[in-house]
Amino acid sequence: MDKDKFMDVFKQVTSDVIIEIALVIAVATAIVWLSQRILPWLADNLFGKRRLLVLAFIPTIRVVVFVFALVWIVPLVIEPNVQNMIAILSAVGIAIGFAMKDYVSSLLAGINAVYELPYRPGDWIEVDGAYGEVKHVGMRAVEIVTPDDTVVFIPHQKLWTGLIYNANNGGPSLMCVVDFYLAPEHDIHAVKHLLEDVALTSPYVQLAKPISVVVSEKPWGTHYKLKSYPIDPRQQFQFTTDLTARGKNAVREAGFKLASLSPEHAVLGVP
Amino acid sequence: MATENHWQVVPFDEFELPSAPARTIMQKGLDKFKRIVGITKSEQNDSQQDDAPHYREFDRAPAVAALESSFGDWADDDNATSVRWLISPPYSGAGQCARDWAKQRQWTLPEPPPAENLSQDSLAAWQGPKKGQPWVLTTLSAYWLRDTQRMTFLRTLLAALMRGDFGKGLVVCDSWTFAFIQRAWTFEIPHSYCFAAATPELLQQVGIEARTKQARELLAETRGNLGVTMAIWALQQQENPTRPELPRDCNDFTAFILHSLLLHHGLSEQQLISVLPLIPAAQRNVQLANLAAHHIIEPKNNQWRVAVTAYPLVRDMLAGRGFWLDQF
Repeated sequence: MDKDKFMDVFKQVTSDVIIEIALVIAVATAIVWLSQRILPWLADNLFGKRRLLVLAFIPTIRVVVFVFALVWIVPLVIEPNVQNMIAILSAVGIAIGFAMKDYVSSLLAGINAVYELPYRPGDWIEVDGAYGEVKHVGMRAVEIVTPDDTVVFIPHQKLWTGLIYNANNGGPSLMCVVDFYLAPEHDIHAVKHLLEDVALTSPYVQLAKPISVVVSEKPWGTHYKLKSYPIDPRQQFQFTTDLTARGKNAVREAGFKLASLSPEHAVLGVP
Repeated sequence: MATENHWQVVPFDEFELPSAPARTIMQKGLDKFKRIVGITKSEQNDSQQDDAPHYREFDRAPAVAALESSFGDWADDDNATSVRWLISPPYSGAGQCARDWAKQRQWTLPEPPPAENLSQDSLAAWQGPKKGQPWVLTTLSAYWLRDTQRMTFLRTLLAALMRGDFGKGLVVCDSWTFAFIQRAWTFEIPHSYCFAAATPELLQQVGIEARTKQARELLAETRGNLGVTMAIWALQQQENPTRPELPRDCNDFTAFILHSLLLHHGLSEQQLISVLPLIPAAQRNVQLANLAAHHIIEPKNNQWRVAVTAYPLVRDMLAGRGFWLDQF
């Protein structure tokens, strides 16, 4: 009897309905598949805001297509009334509660991620010590590629409890910080201006953004932090390399001495 | 009855780009899409390279008259000591017009300092302008190099100009150098002017016989830069023109080289090494050869320069990559 009642929830599925469902799934899959291939390719040929805008479409398209397909398919197999919906939701709820809690939590967090935007394709994020560029925001996990070209899959579930550090937050601006250590006896203003010029003359620097130098005194010398932005977040490592190389040369050529730690500080410096 | 002079000098802040017809905007978008998907215009025969037109000369007297009309009162005022700036987009011919005006006024034309002086923070060794003797400084881009040492002279010079150490004079500054100066040192430069964007009427005045619609499309493509417009017009008049085409494999290094060339209005290979030490020699040579083969750059007076007909293409490419651009 209960089984009959449960089966009443479903409509009679004819071969036409099956074909229609298959077609909807096929078209939806094709749209998502194409968007996940064409848009990243297009984005690779663009820069700055345009690139990030194109990348942001990928998860949005997937969610829109998924919802559209669901709205299309459900009424084909289920009589859409309140009683039936309660029955179906209860069954789904029990299944989720017992067997697929983590998976569904990640799926829901994935949908949440599309709207809350803690990360988007093209963002540089750090989660649990893994830092890299978001390449793909999937249904269950976000895929990042680290500077060492390692792919890391991070379940969206981390959204609920973990800390997510986003270095550029959907924009093309990503601050880079380069450290310089100088022996204590020198003119700090002269070095500060010199380091600002080092950033100003880098071809990678985004001139629309500020350049600043922060100085702090340490027992062994003076610590300079040169802060500036590359034109494109993808250039951050080449940019910091360029700043470091030219910065060290400029400091030496100007007659300033780089700091060298005394043995006791060097030992203290080791974690 | 004298013909109307369509040359006009306007305050720099009031410069307006010519409006682009919808067709031009769509064509630009389509061209960009074609570049992304790899559809390039058919390759031209290299033997046609020599047929490429050179930058056409035009009668500069009306432009000089426009300068006289704008700066005449100030120039005649013996009590005026301020410095005025004329911002010159690349290839626009504004520098040459200012030089003609200086000769007409018998003002002095100091030469840029030798390259080895660019790292000095003193102007003493430079045969520069003298107070009490009006002057015109042309090509400010020759007064600096974008490396940590060779911006010193320009910095000192700018401070002296701002203080009025040299009395009355006109500084002609390339628009890319001007954009860098304004951004890098957040200088608020007063009394800066430029030639207004070219109009169809001005094109007619300099001898371009194009229909108004055609002229508007051309001006939209060249952003009202007269020199570039004339060069592209001359190219269009050829039966088999050799059009510049960006190489398919453009990367960061390509963009850096092109940006540096525009920033300094041309650089020698030695200067390129100084400005872009991060590019290995082999890479630099390949990039230069490749760009030259695609008619994007050309050698001139021992320097590499962006070809005048390639300028709109290069500017668009740099804009798309997020570079800091000039205002023209």
